[in-house]
Amino acid sequence: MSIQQSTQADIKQLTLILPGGVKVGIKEIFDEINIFENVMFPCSSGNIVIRDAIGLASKINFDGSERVLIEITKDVDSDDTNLSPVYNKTFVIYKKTNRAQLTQNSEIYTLHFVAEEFLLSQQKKIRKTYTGTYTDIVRQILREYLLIGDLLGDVANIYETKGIHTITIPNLSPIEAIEFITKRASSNEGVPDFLFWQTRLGYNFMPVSWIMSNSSQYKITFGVKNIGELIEYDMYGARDFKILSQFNSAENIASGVYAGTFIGFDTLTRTIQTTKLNFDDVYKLSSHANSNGMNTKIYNKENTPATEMYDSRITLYPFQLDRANNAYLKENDSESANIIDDSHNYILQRKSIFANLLQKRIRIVMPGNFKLMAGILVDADFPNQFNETDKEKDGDKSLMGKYMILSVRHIIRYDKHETILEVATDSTNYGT
Amino acid sequence: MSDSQDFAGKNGYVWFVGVVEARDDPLKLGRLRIRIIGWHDEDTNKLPTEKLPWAQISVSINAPRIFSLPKEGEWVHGYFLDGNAGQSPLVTGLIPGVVAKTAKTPNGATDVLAALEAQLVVEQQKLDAMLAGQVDASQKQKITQKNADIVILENKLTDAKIIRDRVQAQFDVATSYAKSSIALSLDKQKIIIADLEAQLLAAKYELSQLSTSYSPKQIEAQRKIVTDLKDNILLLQVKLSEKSPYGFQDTRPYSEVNTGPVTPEGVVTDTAGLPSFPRLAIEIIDKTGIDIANANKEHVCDFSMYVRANMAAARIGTGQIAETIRAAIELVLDALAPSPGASSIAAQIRALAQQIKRIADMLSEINDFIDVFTTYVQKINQLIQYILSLPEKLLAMFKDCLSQAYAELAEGLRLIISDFSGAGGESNQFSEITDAVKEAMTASKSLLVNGAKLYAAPAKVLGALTNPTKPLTSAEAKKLITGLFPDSTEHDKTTYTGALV
Repeated sequence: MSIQQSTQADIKQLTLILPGGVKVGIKEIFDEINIFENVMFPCSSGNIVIRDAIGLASKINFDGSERVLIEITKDVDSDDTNLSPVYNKTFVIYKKTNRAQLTQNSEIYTLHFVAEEFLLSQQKKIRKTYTGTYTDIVRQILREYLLIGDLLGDVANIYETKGIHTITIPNLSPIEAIEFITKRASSNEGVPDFLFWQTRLGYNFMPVSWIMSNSSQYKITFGVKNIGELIEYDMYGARDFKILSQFNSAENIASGVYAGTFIGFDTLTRTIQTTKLNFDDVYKLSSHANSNGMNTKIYNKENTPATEMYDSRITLYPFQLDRANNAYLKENDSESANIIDDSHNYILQRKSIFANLLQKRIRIVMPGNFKLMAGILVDADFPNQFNETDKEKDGDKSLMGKYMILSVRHIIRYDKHETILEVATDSTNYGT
Repeated sequence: MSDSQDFAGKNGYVWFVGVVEARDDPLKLGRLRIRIIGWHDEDTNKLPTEKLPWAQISVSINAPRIFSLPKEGEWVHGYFLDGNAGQSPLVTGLIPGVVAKTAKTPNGATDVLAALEAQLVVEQQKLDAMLAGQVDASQKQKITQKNADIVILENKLTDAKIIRDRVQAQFDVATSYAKSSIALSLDKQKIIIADLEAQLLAAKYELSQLSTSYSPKQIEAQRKIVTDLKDNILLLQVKLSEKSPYGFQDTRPYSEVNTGPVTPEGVVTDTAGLPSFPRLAIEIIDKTGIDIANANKEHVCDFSMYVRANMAAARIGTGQIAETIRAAIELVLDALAPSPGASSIAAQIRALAQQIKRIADMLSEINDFIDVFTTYVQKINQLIQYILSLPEKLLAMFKDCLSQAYAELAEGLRLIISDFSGAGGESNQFSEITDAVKEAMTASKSLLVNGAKLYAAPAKVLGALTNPTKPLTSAEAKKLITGLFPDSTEHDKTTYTGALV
């Protein structure tokens, strides 16, 4: 089948792999495939709605031992996988729901699938100590427990973290352990904004600030579709969008986006350190997608700006920063002195960084496109709803700019392939 | 409480139970390495003791300066300062229980020695291999791995270049409108290629560093490791052969000395089936908190009072003995030397031959008193010798008590010998007695024996006083005592030091 429209896809394979290697094609009986990617969730997942008129459900005892092989392409006429990547992954089926009779001879049910590593992870626990950079530790856990490595495949991007750490994983599954580390990891600039997630290319361990600092990979437009043009252009033309949230100052205050305080205490060196940080202190540490940060000139009833209200969020946590300066520790226990947990960094800042990121979120409906993955940067010019003559001419300045894709949902039917994006940004092109 | 997870104390009291595995805290703060049940892998190969996080301890406010750490194998409980993160355990208490397995304390130094010797074997083998121009297995594995990395990178690079060429071809034929879009792909592909080329270059450089032979610098470094290990082993062996100056058996090097009290090697500390608590007070306190607390005490008043009370009793006893002896000797003098001359006395003795038996019996009784006093002095001196053998600080603590004790002894001695000692030494009167006794020997052999004992009594007492256990000249004794008690003269009631010389 040749793809004529951007909303079409060619399902090359949709096959159940049963124990013993028996393969059962379900390409002819599926109703809908949903594939999910989310930067806040470590593994890809999805489901397949089956409209079963061949009695498959009564012949196969779905019990979690089945896999499903999904191979979908957008363009069968071209071998150029860079322009039209093939989605080709195998998942494990872990749940079957919504089984219902449709007619006398047919029934419908949903098979839920997830990346194999997710279930493997649930079957293991880590209770040991690692020393090294968080990046090294993540690589080690991926390799040792989930059989994933740079040379083993399924690793997309793993970025370096700052500092050497010793950490004892407190009885967590491998994926939980990586998420535990992710929450503590800081970039070389000291920004604690790492995320761990899976895309069709593999697993990613990256800081948001690095994603934001890059140029956008795709331009999403909202104009009239150019019928007859190349499919590639049409594929970045949005069908619809919905603003999920644009700002929430109450949540920002509670999350310490504008200002906050970290109180650290170390029982070993008997040190107490109070650190006050405001939006600018955190914001200036890293690059951002757009030219302007959010407006922080929000004055309260006392006429004090939100950025000076450091009691908005107070965190209290053990911290070890002063150990490196303690002569007694350095002389007698250099390990305790040198390997520190920079809780002063991640406890206060991480929550405010993500609260800032998630406050402006938009859902965009796109023609099905496997190049759109969670964690990449896109540029979007949202239309001005009030310009009746030319919506594209004067875009909505409050929305236009670069966004990071938070999550992706591919919806694939026989005749339709749509990609639903949820995007967010930490900044705006609109001057404050 | 939206912030409860990031506010210590509000994020839940996450408690634990664990087993102590080590207490050799280099910071001497009593930190423990504990294997927390459920949180830390029970397999010591996966999570070795030295990889367990240090747990600080909290101490009862009832005795904040005196504490005894739990020993290895004890069960403790506590909580995490950082809640669910579980990185900062704090031990709050010890849980006594029934001991599962009888255990003796290990010899720390022996264990360390064995570990060092095992390490030496490994390092020596590595050095031998290096000297022989061989590469060890891990190095070989690294080289193989690196070669594999390079092959993979080269393949990836080839693929990337093919894709780039395809995109380039599309770019060349594309319409101007499409060119901008394809250019993006082309740029990205070029970046990928550049990145792969950089990775390849780095991998090849790393491979070149993974040499199949070792540089002289690497060999020298390995040789130093082996030499240091040998030195450490030798030092430890010497340390093991040393005897503790305090009479205890802890022969470990200082670096291995625990902060907590340590039970001597081989002592049964836990008996299967019996409660683990309370434990025997048989621990070595050297370099522990208890040791420090003891060192900081200026005076042990209760002990001082004990010494003073005993000295007072001894003084009374010594006085009675001395008075009795003096009375007895005066009685002898009265009996033997009325006047006018020695010949007359001898004649009288002969005349009083029938009384000799009575006198001899009397002398025997006097000598018994002297023997009692001598024994008493010997015991006092044993105490003095013991005190002198104590560490310097402890000795200083007893100094005041000891000088008083010595003064009391000297007083007792003076009571005995004052009537017989003068500026000229031995008195004439005493010589006459001696002569008389000598004459008396012809009358009674028993009189001679007892009389000779009487004559030797003062010297015997002095000997016991100065050196009951080993030969010491009187000059040495004087030097020893005056050196140790320079200010003891304020307690002196006699010129006993002159008598010692």
